[in-house]
Parts: sequence; structure tokens; C-alpha cells
Amino acid sequence: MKKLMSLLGTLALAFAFVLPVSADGHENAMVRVLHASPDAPAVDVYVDGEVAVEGAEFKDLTDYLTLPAGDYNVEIKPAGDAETVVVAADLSIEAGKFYTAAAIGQLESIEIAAMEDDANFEEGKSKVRVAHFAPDAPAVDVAPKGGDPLFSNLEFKAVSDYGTLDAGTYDLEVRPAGATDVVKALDGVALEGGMNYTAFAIGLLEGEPAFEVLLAADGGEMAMAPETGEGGLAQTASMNWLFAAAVVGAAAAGFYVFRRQKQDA
Amino acid sequence: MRQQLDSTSFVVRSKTLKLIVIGSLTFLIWSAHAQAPDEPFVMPTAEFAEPLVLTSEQVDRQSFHTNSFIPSRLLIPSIDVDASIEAVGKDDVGRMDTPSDEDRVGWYRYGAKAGATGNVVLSGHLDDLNGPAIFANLDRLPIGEVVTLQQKGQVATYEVVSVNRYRLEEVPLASIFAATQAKRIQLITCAGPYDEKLGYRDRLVVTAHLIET
Repeated sequence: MKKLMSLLGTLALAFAFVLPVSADGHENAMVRVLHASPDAPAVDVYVDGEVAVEGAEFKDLTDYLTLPAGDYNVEIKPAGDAETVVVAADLSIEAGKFYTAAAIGQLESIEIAAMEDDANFEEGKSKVRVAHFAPDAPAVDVAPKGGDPLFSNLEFKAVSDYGTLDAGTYDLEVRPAGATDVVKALDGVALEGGMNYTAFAIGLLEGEPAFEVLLAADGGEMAMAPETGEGGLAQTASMNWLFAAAVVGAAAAGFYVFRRQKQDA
Repeated sequence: MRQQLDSTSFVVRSKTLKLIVIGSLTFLIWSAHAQAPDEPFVMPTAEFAEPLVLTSEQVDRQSFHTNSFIPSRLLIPSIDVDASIEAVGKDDVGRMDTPSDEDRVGWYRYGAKAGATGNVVLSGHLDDLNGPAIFANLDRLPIGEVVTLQQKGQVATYEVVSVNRYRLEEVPLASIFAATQAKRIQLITCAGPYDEKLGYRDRLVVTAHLIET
């Protein structure tokens, strides 16, 4: 699998090959944010001028945020500093789709990379892709231990296409493209059936924060809230009211009768 | 005599001087030689019978191993819940399904396994037609209480971080069902007023985070 897309700068997001998995039939999209700029400070993320994420640090991948489909301006600012824009980008998002927007590169050349996340799942299979967001790392291959590359020649900023693997636990290796030595061994990568993943290669080969791979599940099999009651408690409550009313009524009647008897006496 | 002495002493002094000068020069030449960039110092090399091979311990490694499991039992001691769990999916209108028995709890099989990264989603009934069911007291669960998922010898323990009630149409579905890097469980049941046609108006969502061991 060759790298298919390196979506940067303009962030024109228009892919039709993924079936939208709508959360609830509403016109919402899901967006999450990754801080992958190794020397950038903690940041706040603004969407159309409103703060959406606060205090995200390097390596933080937020939960998916629900946004109505449409066009947005995303700004990244140093945490707590609303005046300074570190980097900004325009983002178009479609209903029922999932996206990841990542701040990548060293601070002096920071960019926002945006990608659509595959939320179309296959029973017993895992769909996996690799995003190369380590600015000082060479082009890499990702392969099973000692095996042929699954992902080849990914350069910095490249996001591979999704590849489909059988669910299972894999020992993988990150290698310089075309070479057999190992940059990083990834042991026990558990890929669940019916789940999709992105492996984000982040950090620095030379220096801190160190190069590492952040494995994240993508999208999600959305559902509506379950129907978890049949009203038995509510009906019991109303039965109780009836009973209480009956008791009060009987008591009142009894008191009335008692008063009448007293007056008669 | 005096002059001789002086002369002798001069000779001695000049010899000392010569020694110092020669010694200094020798040192300077030696040190200049040692630092000469065109003649780098060469480490003596040792002979290896085998070519040097990086062993697996020497490669920069990152482990992704986790202990996750499909839970079969839910324990919430503070509200006396000890329930067996069954896997559930979605019903025909796209709602998370509920367990077949009111005393059991449903585990959303499209979500995370116990102990794993992601949302472990569990649904349970507030009541049935006759009265309270397994999650009748979920709203009384205090923050900080312990919730445990089990499967044979495996255990994942969580700590309650929030108990929130939402209108049905405002339940934060992305927080509950979408992928997350957090390791948490989401317990869902009904809440609020009951309507004969619409059912319960609200949903109670209890979120608990994995206590890493």
C-alpha cells in the first residue's frame, strides 16, 4: 500500500468512498484533534472563534467532538492565550463522517493535517493505516516482524490508505524505507475485528519528545440510546399515589363521620 | 671565587632553563601532534568471531500488549449490583440493544472490551412492567465508587467520575459510542418522567475510568 494522501494546508475534505455512519440520522459530523507538534506548547483549539478543546499537550488525541456538518475555521492557540494564533485552517465536514485534524511539524513550520477516518467496519477484520507525523524521521516502511512491508515509503506528512488485516495481535516494525534495520519495534499490536485504526508515528528520532507510535481506534459504531425502562416504577409510583389518595380520603371520611357522631352525641 | 660561584650558578640556572624550555617544547610538540586533525587517534579494534547483531533487547521497542476481555459479570457493591452480562448489538431502529432479562446487563459488542482503550458501554433496565430492575439505583451511585467487570479470573476495576442525566435527544452519543483514547465504562439506564407512548424522557449516564494497576 502506497501512501495515498497527504492532506495539508487547504484541507479540502471530499471523499465519497466511505459510507456515512450517522449517529442518529442528524446532520452531524465528528471531529477530533491530535497534537503532534513535538516542540509546540500546550494548545487550545478554537472552532469558528469558540474554544472547543483546552490545554491539549503533545501526544493528546481528543475525543470526537460533535459538530453540525458544514465549513469551519479551526485555530490553534497557545493554551490560555486567546490573542495568538499558532496555526489556522479551514475545514469542511460532512454529515455522518469522522475526521481527525492534527497539528504537525516543528513549531516554526507547524501545519494542520486533516484526514477522514474510516467508520465503515468489517466483521472479523481490522482496517489500519499509518500517519507519518515525525518531522525528523526518514521515509519509513511498516512491516510485520521480519516480513514484507504492509505500508511502504511513507514520508513525513503522509497518511497511508487503509489496509485490511485479519483481526489478531501483531508484532510490527517501523523501518527506514527499503531497509531491513528497525527504527522501532511495535510489540503486541492488538487489532480487534470490526474496528479500524490509525497508527500515528509522532515525536523525534533525535531528541525529545522521543519517536513513538500512537495507536488509535477510528470512528465508532454509533447507536442511539437504549430503551431501558418499561414504566413499572412510574406505574408503581402512580399506584402509590392512588393508594395514598384512598388512604387520605378514607381518613377524611372517617374523621367526618367521627365529627358527626361527636356532634350527634 | 665569587665570580666563579656566580658563573657556576648561572650555568646551573641556564641548564634548568634549558630543561624547562626543552620539556615545554617537547610537550607542545607532543600535544600538537596528538591534536593534529590529519592524524586522528585510532581505537584499537577487537576481533569479533561473529558479526555484531542487535538483539531484540537492544532494538527500541514499544509494547501494545493489553489485558482486555469480554466481561461476564458486573459488580457495583455500593448499590448492591451483582449482575451477569450478555453481549448486545443494536435493535432494528439503531438503538443500542438491552439485555433480554431485566436482571442482567447488556455489553455493547461494537464498543471496547473490559480493560481496553475505548468506551465499554453497558445498558441495564431501570424497571420492568412490575417494578425496579437491575439499574434502579444507578442514580444513587456516588462519585468515586468502584465498579468492577469480571470474566473468570480477569478483573477490570473502574472509578465513577460522573453521573449525568440527559434528555433522550441530548444524550452525548459521541462520548459514549465513538472511539476514544480514554479507558472508561459508560453505564446507561432510563430516568425522568415516564410517558405511556414515549417511554422514559431521560437517560442516566454513569462514566467510570479504569484504575490502572
